Amino acid sequence: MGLLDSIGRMLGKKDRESEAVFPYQAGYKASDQPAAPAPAPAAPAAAPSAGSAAPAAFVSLGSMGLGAAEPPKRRQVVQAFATVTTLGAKVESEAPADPSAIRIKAEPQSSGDTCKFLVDRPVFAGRSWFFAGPGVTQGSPLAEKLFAIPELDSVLIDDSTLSVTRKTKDGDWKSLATQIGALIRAQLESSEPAVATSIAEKIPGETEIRDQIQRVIDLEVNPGVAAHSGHISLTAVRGNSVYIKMGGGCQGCSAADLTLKEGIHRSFRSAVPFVGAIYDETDHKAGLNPYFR
Amino acid sequence: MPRVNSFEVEITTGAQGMPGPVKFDFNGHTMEFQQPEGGTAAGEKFRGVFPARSFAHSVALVGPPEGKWKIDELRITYHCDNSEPYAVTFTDFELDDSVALDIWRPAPLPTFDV
Repeated sequence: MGLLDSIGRMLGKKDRESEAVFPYQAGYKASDQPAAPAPAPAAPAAAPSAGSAAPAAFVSLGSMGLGAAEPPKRRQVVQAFATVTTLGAKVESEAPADPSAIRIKAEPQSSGDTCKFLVDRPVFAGRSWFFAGPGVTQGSPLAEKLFAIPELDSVLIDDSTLSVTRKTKDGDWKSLATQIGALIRAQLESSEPAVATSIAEKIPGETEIRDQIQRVIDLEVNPGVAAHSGHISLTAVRGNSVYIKMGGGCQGCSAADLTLKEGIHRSFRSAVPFVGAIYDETDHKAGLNPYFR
Repeated sequence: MPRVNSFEVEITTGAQGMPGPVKFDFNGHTMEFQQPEGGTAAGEKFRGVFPARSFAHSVALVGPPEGKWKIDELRITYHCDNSEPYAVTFTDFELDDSVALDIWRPAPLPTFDV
C-alpha cells in the first residue's frame, strides 16, 4: 500500500478521528485499532514537487470540504539531536597495528565538489585557514603540495579537518582522496607545520575578530540583505572560526547558499583577513514554509 | 532527494505514555503506521511500518493528541533507493500536543579510509 492509498484510508477515517475523546487513556494498544479496510488497488506513488511547500503538519480535512470535522491543530515541527548509522555496512578497516599511525577518513559531501578529511590529530591546532587557490598559500607547505594537484580549487583547514574543493562536481573521489590523504599524512609525519607560521602568528584574538566581524555585519552585510527582509547574526567566534545564523527572508531561502558564499564570505574575508572557517548554523528547514523543507 | 521505499519505527515509551494512536506526517500528510504492534503506555514498545514508496521532503512524528508523551528511545529505519538501510535514533525526549518531531534524516555520507 503506497502513500496515496494511506491518505485515502485516513480520509475515510475522518469520523473516527473527529471524536474529541480518545478511548486509550491507559496507553494506546496497537491491538485496539479497528480492522483496516481492504486495500485499494495500488496506485503509483506521487512525487511532490520541491515547490509544493508542504505545510508543517496535518492535512486539514475541514478545509478540503470533506466534512465538518474540527480543524486539526497546527503543530510546530521541532528538531532534536539524532544519531544516524548505516545498517549492515561492513567495517572498512581494522584498527591499525601501529597505534601511532595517522588515520584519515575521507567523507565526500553531497555537493559533489567537496570532500572532508577527518584526521585523528590536529593539522592546525585550534585555528582554521582558508586557501582560496594556489596563489595564496603564503608558504604553507601542505597547501602548496595540495595545489600541485591541478583538479583542486580551494582548501579549508580547521583544526583536524580539511575541506577540499575540486573544480568539478562530477566523478568519484576515491582516487583523488587517496592522493590527498597521502599528502596530509606525509606532512604530519614531517616536523614542519602544515600552515605557515607567518599566518598563525598574525591571527588576532577572538574578541578582536568578533568586534570586526560584527562591524561588517552591521555596516555592510545586513543593510544588503535587508532588501530581502533578511538579517545575519553572529553567534560565535571560536579561535578564528566564525559562526553565523541567517534569519528573516534568508532563513530557508533557496539562494541562501549563494548569499553565504558570494556575499558574506567575500565581505568577511576582505574586511577581516584573519577569519578562517565561516559556518552557517541556520536551520534552513525550520519554520512554516522554508524552501529547504 | 532520496526515494523512501519504506520506514519502520520502534518507540520505547518512558515514564509517561500517551493515549495514541501513533501518527506521523509524511510530506505534510498525517497518517498512521501499518502493521502496528505493542503500545504507548509507560514502559511499552510500539512498532510500525510504512511503505512510503515516495520522495521524502519531510517526515515528522506527531505528538500526543493531549498531554505529554515521554519517549526513552525512538528508532526509525529508512529503506531508500541507492543506499544501505540506515537507522536514525533519538533518545530521552518529550513531545506534547502542540508539536511534531522532525524525524527525517538523509542517508549518512559514505566515508572511507585514505
